[in-house]
Amino acid sequence: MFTQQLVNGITEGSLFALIAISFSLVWGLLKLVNFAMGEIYMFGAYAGWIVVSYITPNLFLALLAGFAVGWGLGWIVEKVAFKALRGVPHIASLVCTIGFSFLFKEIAAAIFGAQTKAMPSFYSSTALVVAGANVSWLQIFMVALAAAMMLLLQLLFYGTKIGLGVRAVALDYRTAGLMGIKVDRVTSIAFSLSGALAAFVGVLAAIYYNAINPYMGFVPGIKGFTAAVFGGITSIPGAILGGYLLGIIENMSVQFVSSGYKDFVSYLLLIVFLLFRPNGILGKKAKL
Amino acid sequence: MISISRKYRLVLQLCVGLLLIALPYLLGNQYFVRIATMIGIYVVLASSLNLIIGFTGMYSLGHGAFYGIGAYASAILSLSLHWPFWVTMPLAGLFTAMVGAFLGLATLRLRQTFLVFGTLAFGEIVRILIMNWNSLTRGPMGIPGIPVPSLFGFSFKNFSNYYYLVLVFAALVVFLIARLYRSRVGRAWVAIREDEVAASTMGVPVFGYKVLAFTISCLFTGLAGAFYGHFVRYISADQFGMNESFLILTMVALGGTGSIIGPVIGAVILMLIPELFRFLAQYRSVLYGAILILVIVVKPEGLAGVKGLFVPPSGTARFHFRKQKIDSAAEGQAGGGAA
Amino acid sequence: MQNRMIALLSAVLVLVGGASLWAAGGTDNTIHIALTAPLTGDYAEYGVNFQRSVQMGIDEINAQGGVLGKKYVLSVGDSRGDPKESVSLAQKWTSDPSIVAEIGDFTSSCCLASQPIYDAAGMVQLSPTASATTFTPGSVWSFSIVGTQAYEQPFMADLAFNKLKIKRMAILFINNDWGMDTQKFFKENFEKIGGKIVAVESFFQGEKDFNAVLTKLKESKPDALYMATMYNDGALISLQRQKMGWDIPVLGPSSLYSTELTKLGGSSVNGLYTNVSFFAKDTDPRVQAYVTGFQKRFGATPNFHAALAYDAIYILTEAIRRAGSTDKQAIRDALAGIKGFQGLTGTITFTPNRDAIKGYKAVQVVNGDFKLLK
Repeated sequence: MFTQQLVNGITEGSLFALIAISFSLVWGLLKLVNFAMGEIYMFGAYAGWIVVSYITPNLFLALLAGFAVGWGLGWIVEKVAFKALRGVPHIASLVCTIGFSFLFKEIAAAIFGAQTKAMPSFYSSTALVVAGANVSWLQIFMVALAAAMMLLLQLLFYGTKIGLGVRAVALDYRTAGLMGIKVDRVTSIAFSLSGALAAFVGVLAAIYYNAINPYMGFVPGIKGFTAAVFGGITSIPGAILGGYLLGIIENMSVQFVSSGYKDFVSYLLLIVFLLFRPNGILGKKAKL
Repeated sequence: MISISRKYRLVLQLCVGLLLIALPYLLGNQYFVRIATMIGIYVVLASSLNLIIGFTGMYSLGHGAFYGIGAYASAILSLSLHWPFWVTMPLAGLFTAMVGAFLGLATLRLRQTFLVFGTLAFGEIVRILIMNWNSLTRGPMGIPGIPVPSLFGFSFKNFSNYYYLVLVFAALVVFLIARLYRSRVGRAWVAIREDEVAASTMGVPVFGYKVLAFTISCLFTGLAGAFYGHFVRYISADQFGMNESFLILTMVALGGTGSIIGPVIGAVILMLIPELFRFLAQYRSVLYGAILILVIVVKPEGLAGVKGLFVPPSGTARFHFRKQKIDSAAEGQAGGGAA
Repeated sequence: MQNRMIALLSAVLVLVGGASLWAAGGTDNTIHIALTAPLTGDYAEYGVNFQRSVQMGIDEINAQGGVLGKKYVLSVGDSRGDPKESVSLAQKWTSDPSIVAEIGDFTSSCCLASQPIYDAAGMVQLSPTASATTFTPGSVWSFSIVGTQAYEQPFMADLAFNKLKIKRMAILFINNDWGMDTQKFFKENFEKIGGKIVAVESFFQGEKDFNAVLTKLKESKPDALYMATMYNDGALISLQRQKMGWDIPVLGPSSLYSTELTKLGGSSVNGLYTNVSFFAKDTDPRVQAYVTGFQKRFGATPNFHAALAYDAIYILTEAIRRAGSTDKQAIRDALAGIKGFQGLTGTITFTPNRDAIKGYKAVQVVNGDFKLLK
């Protein structure tokens, strides 16, 4: 049973990890939280659902559609909640993203209806059996994807000019601006990327759970955020580690504590971490 | 800006006071009186959150939970021990303040942005505890039949009577907060908000004042919870979730941080919008989100917020990187001044 | 700045005062009733079905000339599944002198929260679905037609233990007022007749990942799994159970009965046992008329909750007809006196506590379709 819970935890963890990257991207640049992330995730799932059920049952096309929709929504949120509100107290941006979260889920409910909709599954056949635990191809795919995404982002950040720009802006946007980096553009790209990632995960989750509805984003949004803080919100490997840890801890606490207290354990650990290691497991020391 | 003379202002304040007193008679309708009462409770909630956000520059996303702690404490005390509201209400407030002080002692050393996560996690922990602690809170079943307060045989069952009760309570809280703001303590809080390091250098015991602000805020929030519980007479965990914390935060932001009247306006508006647009049925929530975004973008400092609150007087609120104007606001926010 | 805001505030207050002036009264040839339902939020899909069914019933009744020669006018309010909103709506309805009765809300917590308002104002609060045992005894104005879990769960326990010969049961329930009640009554009754509950686990509203709880439940080696959940969660649980390769008989309360269950759950829900008091394939012509009418108008097959809302408007109409007036007290008394009302969800007779005892029929999912069990 322990291995089965470990497998469960790792699979759920890869979803958390990918959302955590989104939070970490935005945080790294702007020191802000986008509370509409869960809703972008939800819209991604709907985009994937439209592709799969109306156009062509192709997993990769669905993921691509999710990515595109997320990119667009991320771009909109950045323009309204962050660019237009730059320089005013953070609370304004925070509340603005809360407004977007409201708007997005109710728009989705108005367009698609509030009913839970079925999503077909892909690659759900068993790939291997580890100590009595079934592992499907999709689960392997999800873990591989999280790893690939981490590598890709590291490559992007440490191997490209845009990445250099992002890092410079994250370090000190004023100096970066003085050095001729187009801060607005870099921010916009990174933000859209974070939205695209969240929506991408939304498609994956929809396929994994075979169901979507307009209110599906709230829990993963909060969990992804928790995972990001857990692992160190300033670092992308940290966010991924946080995601996996959170997934494993939650599944283990169902097994060894009680299902009613599963979230309790993770939030308690979060507070403990904040107190003794506020920068998370892999977080860098705060740069002031 | 229109400047209003002192005399005129007094007249205006008197008018508003009279209007508030005469409100149940003007409205006549119990539905409107009920909304007015709920507004009163939210005025207290928003004002007490503003005490943290607007005066000391810290954030809390756990106020929905403190609100719930107050409501549950008073309800449980009055139902299991049959103590009157006048005993359970202050006890609930004190208990909430105590919990707040503990949380404050533990987390207020965190940089302010991490405080957001800490309070958010705390809020969820409280909700999960309420849901699971069946023997004390009846878990998901909620607590029905909370008694209506009465005073010397005079019952507050009538909404108009309860409205006056809440009106007195809300006015008292707003008045107290206004007095606090202008006191020595208030000046210390503002000093911390503007520059923690400087305040510390000037001999302000920063940490102690932060815990004090947090505790007082929780005290008022807990009291508001007690007033709410005895008003609706049925409470359940889903009434005090994260959305509630978001709502209170939104009221403060929309009304304006750092001003006395701001949270009052925020509470009035955010309580009225959903009621005014009821006829839109399911599209009402879409509109709610849209209005929220619009107001914040047009007036980011809030409708009555102190402009340039976190910004030095000479600084501009908005800037563009290309123009290379230096903005110390964002930095002051991100760094928080202390590690 | 502050002064201007005070001025603004007073202007708003004056406006609110003015608004109270147009609080309208009803005209003579209409009957106003109100519906409270979660049209948005977590419970929206059930609330929307409420609205559809009640609107459909009202349109039919109005087309036949209405009741007492008067036509129905429906006011709909969205409670978002939030008890605070539900209370606010209750206040709105009871303050409106033209409204004579209310149908709703969906969740028991919303109904319980608004109960004191209806009680104080003296207006019928007829919930199609509130099944908390504490609800209807709380006020003489509160009615529920779903039948509480105290009646339904003995039937399920009997089905499981005596007919299906299940000795060891594991329970998975949604941690809200309804789920708590359901699992409690099932557990009590199942243990009373000799069964053994080997594990009980729960999840919160909004959860999508059930792998961990299912793994834990599997460990307790039960003969069958009892899902005290709604159909959408039930479908998700079944899918994940199937993927885990855990093949086991599954049972659950009537909330699982919906064509959505089979649509969402696919082959994973085959073999599932539940019970119905409303069955869409019933040969009763009234059921067929309702189902085809609903499908034609909304493009969906009505489920149990939808049918309950449809019954609610008809039983209310019957009460108004018997009362012979739109006096609120008369409607309440007539409603309380209704015996043997033939609804789509079975015969409805109110108990002295104003909830209903229903007849239950066991059904099983066979090849993606609900079949009555003999």
